[in-house]
Amino acid sequence: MSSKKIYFLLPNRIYASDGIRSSLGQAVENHYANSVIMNGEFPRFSEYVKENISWVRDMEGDVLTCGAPSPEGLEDALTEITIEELGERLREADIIIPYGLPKQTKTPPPACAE
Amino acid sequence: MKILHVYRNEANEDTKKLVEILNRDREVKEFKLYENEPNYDMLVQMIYEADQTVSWW
Amino acid sequence: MSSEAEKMGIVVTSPQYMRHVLGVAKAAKRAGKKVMVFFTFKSIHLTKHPDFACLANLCDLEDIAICADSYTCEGYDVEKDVPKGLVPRQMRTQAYLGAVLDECNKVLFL
Repeated sequence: MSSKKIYFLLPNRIYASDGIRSSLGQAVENHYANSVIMNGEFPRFSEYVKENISWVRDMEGDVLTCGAPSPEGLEDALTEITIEELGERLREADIIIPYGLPKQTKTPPPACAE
Repeated sequence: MKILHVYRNEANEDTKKLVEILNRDREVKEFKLYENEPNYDMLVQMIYEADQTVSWW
Repeated sequence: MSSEAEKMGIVVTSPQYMRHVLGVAKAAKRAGKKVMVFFTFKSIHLTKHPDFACLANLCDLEDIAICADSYTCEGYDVEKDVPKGLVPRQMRTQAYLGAVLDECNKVLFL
């Protein structure tokens, strides 16, 4: 099986944590797996999510933030990238996965945002 | 390289920007799933003709 | 062309496009392809859609699966509530997505 360069695009925070989990799954399968959190739609960074990010990066993948700076304390965990830079990186991708649903108009309430 | 863009909904500004960069120097086709009754036979044929398919939200 | 080259993958990450999933799967079959489908995260709710069993019937047993962890995370019972059309060993992990990428020469994400 050949290793593929994969990008999970995550514009909806309800799907962000699972997109990172899924990219970890593909890193374990020997693919170069990258997750891109778009426009600051960050998931809650639980220990589980932080561990997943760390594993992805250990396995030659990356977790990026496009269109928003890294949240405080996570500057070393996420790679900041502009939309133009993301476009150039996607040109090199084998598989591009616009994951889940697009961004919601209304910010998720605490009932599901946490 | 032949790239096919499949749209599940109308593209937003981010998607348009990424598509514009992806399309540079490439042969481009698109298929809108959200318009009328999609011709799935045609979509499958287009997927097999393309080198890469991206299915946007 | 090898038999692997004739398999089309559909990976479902959105919970709202059963019509497209089934439409593409049927069209791929009409075009002479085998179809391999994986449902993950909130798309697993589509296993409760009336058309899910129809989709499962289009695929070989090893060629359709759902993410068992997603099913559990969404509140379903992975042992007592196996979706109609599936058997327990079709409740899989994210490794199945890797299998789809490996076995299918074309993959559509919905």
